[in-house]
Amino acid sequence: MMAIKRSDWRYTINDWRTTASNGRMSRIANRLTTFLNKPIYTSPLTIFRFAFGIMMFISLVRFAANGWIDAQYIQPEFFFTFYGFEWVKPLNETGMYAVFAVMMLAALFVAFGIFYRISIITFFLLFTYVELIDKTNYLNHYYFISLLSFLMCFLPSNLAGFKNLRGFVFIIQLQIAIVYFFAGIAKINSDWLLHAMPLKIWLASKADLPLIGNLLTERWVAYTFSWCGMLFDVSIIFFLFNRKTVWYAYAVVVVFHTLTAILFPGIGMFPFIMMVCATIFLPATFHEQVLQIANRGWRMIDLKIPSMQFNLWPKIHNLKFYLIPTFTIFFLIQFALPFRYLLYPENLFWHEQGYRFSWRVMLMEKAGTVFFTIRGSDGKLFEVNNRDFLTMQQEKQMSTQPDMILQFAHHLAELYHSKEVYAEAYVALNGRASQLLIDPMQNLCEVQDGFANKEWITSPHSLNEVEVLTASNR
Amino acid sequence: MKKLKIAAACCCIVLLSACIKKKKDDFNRTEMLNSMYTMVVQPGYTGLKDASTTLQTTANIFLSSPDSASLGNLKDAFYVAYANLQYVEALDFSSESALRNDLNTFPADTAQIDNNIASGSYNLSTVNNLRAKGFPALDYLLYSKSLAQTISDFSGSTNRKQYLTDVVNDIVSKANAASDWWNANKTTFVSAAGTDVGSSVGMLVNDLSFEMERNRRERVGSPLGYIGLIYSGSVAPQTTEAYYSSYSKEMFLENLKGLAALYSGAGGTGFDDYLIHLGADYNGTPLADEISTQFVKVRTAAEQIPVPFSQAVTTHNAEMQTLFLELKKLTVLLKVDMSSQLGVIINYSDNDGD
Repeated sequence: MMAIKRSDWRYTINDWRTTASNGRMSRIANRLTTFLNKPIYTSPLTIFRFAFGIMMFISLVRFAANGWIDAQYIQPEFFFTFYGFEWVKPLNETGMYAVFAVMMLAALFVAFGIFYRISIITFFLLFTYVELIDKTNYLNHYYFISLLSFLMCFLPSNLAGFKNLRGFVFIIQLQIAIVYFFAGIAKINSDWLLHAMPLKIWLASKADLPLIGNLLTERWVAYTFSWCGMLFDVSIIFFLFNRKTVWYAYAVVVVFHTLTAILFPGIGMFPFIMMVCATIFLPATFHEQVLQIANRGWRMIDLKIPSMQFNLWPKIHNLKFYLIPTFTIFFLIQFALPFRYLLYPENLFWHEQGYRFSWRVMLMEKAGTVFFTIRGSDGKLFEVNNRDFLTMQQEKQMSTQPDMILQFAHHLAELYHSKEVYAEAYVALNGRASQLLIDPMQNLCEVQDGFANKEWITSPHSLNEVEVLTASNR
Repeated sequence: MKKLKIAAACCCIVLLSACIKKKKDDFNRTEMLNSMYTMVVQPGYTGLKDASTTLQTTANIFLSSPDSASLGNLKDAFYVAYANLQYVEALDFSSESALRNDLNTFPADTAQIDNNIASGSYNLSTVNNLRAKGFPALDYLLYSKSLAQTISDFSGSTNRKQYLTDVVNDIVSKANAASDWWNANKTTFVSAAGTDVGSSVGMLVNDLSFEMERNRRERVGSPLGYIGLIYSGSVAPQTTEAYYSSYSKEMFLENLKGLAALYSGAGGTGFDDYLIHLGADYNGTPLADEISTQFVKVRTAAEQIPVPFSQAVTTHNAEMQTLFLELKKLTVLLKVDMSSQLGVIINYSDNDGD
């Protein structure tokens, strides 16, 4: 059982290397291929997929236990689909519960390497399907899980003691690195750094916490947290990638996420998922040791279950030529998405065009309320009660996001066979006074959703100049 | 392991420094909740309980000897009890403590009430009788006809007498249950001093905005016959609260008084103190002042309407619209600005991580 086989580490990407031209590019390509093709123990991946599967299983059980399947996918009568994904529809009650049950099972199968390839593909497809149903529920960490599970479809599901190309470990590391780094870049803005917003509000709201509670109302604490948070996010991956500092960096990761889990219980599983995911940066030799110990003492859950024999694409754990462009495109898209907001004028936090899929987390304390007025078929104007059509969570999310306001307006127009729908939306952003988010006189039936700039979003008057809070007290 | 120890040590240092640090001012939410309980909640519910007991007594006297004096007393008791309900109506902490739906779903369903009386068989706790009981039902039973007609109606009909008794008893039992619930749950209320879902602060903010929205939408918007940006022109006076007794304005002002008490702490510590403590700003003025001023503007707008709302929608339409607008501003200030500055989380679901 314990014999370490070394039969699987002979793969290289020769095809790619030979296509590289001479000169500097060639040297870089050579170094890269050498790096990616260096055989290392695959145990980081084995442990990663075990931990990932278990975390996903726990998350799903928690999700179900909180009644969120019902609240988010069965109760709503209307769903805010993503642009271009209007065809994604929820199933009925039995169907949605079945989807979650299959996902839970798939997560466990992934953890224990049973039908690994089929299980992870199933998980990826179902999870992504569920996330596409309603953008109300969009969370960056759900997006992260979709991306990770996509990458995991390509991973070799080797056993303890095997070696394979470092490239496979690297793509997971790169995915995690992107999350941290872009989350850090996004924090480099005046609200976060110069006004310590929204942390100033959020920390002060936690003043009842034992021990640190009193400290949280201090102004300098909010600034310290903001700056440290930014510096942590931007720099942590460099320390995680560095073999000399990886252990210290991991300790910092644990401290950081523990702190956020305590301060912001509302963020749910995210800190724990990140703590678990970041173990992929620890040395492969360490993972190998852990795996061997686990296999020795814990035969009930044998991590050496030979999933290889169920492998749909036996050759896929060879980092072949076609995988390089796949991953390259995959990551290039991810590098580009966070910058698409530059194509839109005005303040991103205000209009949120290009906000999602960019690792913008915890950046806004944004609250709003919106009053919809419709001209009925009898020609008379009346206001609707949003809660008659939306869940509390949907109404809350819609109130601050113009694209969702538009979607709901079109839904109302359809329901009432109306050609005139107006929305009077008041939104407060990061401690500023509330103001109109969109033009209240714009008939929303006359505009369509799309990637073009939404001209009917109001220009946030002097959003940058407004003094956020009377500084003396905060 | 060594690294973990270092991390643990760092944690300890952070925690220690927190302990050493002295508090800089004496505001805390537990104290605010305690004050609110003592100054607003408890007197409010005790008042309602007492007033509904008086309502029951006067109702019994009226039913045993229906005359203009006993009816007058009953009507007085109705006014006091209804006003007391308005004062605490916003508080919606549990099914036992929440009275809004049970006792004040208006306008009354008069056909349903008449049917119930005629048939003599009904169950007031069913959903379809929600509009056939509570204060809107009393409003209809006691005020929809002339004094003489009302007295003679009640003198002649056992069913009608029974219905009044049942409606009043229902009010008393609900008011008592609510009062008992609050007496039993003081500690829970005061100690839930966080800002998350289920915290007292979160629920109060939610209740305040919800009730203000109800004032805007149901007490003023519905009679105005529209709601929204542009006025459509068809008023609906029969949807006014306390339509038959014409106490709509008085009840609205009582309700507003209750909301203002919750906001300001009624002489104790309230949300205004909390906002001042946080230094919350609204375009250069303290948000606390902005909200207080807006409360006054709404009250003034209502006070300037000289007739009941049901009448005002036609005779003082412009004033009613002013009231509607001021209410909208106040709703936004409470629901958007205040809740945002306090960082309260109202609904339970994950939000985006770090």
